[in-house]
Amino acid sequence: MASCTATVPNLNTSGDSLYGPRICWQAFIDWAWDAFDFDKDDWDQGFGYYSVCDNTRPLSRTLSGIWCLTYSSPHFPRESYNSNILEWGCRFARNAIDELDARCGGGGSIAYTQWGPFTNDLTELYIPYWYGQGVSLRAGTLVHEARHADGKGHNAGNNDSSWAYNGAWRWQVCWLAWFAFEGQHTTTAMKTQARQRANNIINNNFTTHPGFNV
Amino acid sequence: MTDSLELVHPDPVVLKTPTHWLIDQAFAALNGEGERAAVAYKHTAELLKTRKDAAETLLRVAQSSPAEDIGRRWCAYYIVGDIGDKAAAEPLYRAAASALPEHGKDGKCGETRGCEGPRDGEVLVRTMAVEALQRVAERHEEARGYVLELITAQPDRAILIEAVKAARALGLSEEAAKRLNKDDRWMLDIKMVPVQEVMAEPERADDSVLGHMPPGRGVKQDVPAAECCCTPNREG
Repeated sequence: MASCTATVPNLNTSGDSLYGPRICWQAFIDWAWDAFDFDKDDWDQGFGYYSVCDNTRPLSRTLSGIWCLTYSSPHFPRESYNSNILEWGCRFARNAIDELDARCGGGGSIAYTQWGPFTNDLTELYIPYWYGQGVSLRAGTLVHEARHADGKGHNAGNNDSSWAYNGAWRWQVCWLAWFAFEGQHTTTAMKTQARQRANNIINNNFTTHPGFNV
Repeated sequence: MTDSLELVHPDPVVLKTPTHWLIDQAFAALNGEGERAAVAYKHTAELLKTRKDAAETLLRVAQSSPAEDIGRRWCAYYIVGDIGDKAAAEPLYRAAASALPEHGKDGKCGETRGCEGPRDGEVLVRTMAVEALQRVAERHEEARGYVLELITAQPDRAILIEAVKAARALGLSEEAAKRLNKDDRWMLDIKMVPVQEVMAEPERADDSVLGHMPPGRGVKQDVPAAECCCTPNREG
């Protein structure tokens, strides 16, 4: 067990002033808690279990990411795999992620997923996930980790070898790009950050550059 | 037994001058939803343009904010770009060219430890600084040299590509090519594609598992309650 401290950044510019009140809805909390398999023991001790609507706490900030992942498509509640990832991203993530845990972390990582036979499949979120990125980027990270939970690791160190590999980086890029293009109920800042982050990933995380930006 | 977390709430920012107050309004509008927020942002940015100390104050906000407050730093650069003060070009260049923190020590991601880290937030802030520099250079020809200087500075690849894109948008492709290493000239050929060409292959069909039903179904016994308000409170 580790103890950690975190400084709460500006709530407007992280998107938590906008999304925080949205998750303060018991029906949504009931659903998300079950769909992403949260457990009380992983989210108490200051992580927000006892104050789920406190948008300075990790649980609220995680639920904001899930809210963004769930409701940003203009076609909600349709979740067809025949459409783009903004539409089906939440469907995929809630089915792929086995459990979602809060941890202090270390070494600066944002999130971590382990999977495989004889492994306790899980996804852990760390301090920089909640306090180092805005709401739309948190949603994108969930898509990335869900792709790992689905059994697809990276095949070139921390990178994917190519766009054709169809790995976690491509999925994250696609979700961010579609969010920037047609995301609903959001802000100029969230959309612009999503587009820029998508391009940063395209430009840094493929061994063979895909040759385009969005 | 799980980890425990203690939060530090910084002191509220003191809005010392009318410019600080306007910047605070711009932050709120830029991060608000809908047409009203968009109009409010536009008006606030117009008012900021009339204040001589606006760009300088915003740059100070960006530089004095805690490193981990990525959103605040990013928004400050965004607004600097909209104000378009030519005096901001050199500080934006320096921000974009500044060294990135080292990669995390966790090693390989996915199977072992995380793929993303705080360095990615720093890349995002510098990306915004490049876009802001481009917007300043669109208004002031004398600022264009800083875009080319950034290419010469050979920053991290993601930042270099943003600088190359900015140069191209400003009609400076030839000058950019001269400054790029031979191995990097492919960056000038990066296409801007419509989002319809950016698709993930889901590798599953619609008859695959739908999963838990949407919100509104069932009442769980072991979930946190939504009864408290959104003001911060302590949890130990």
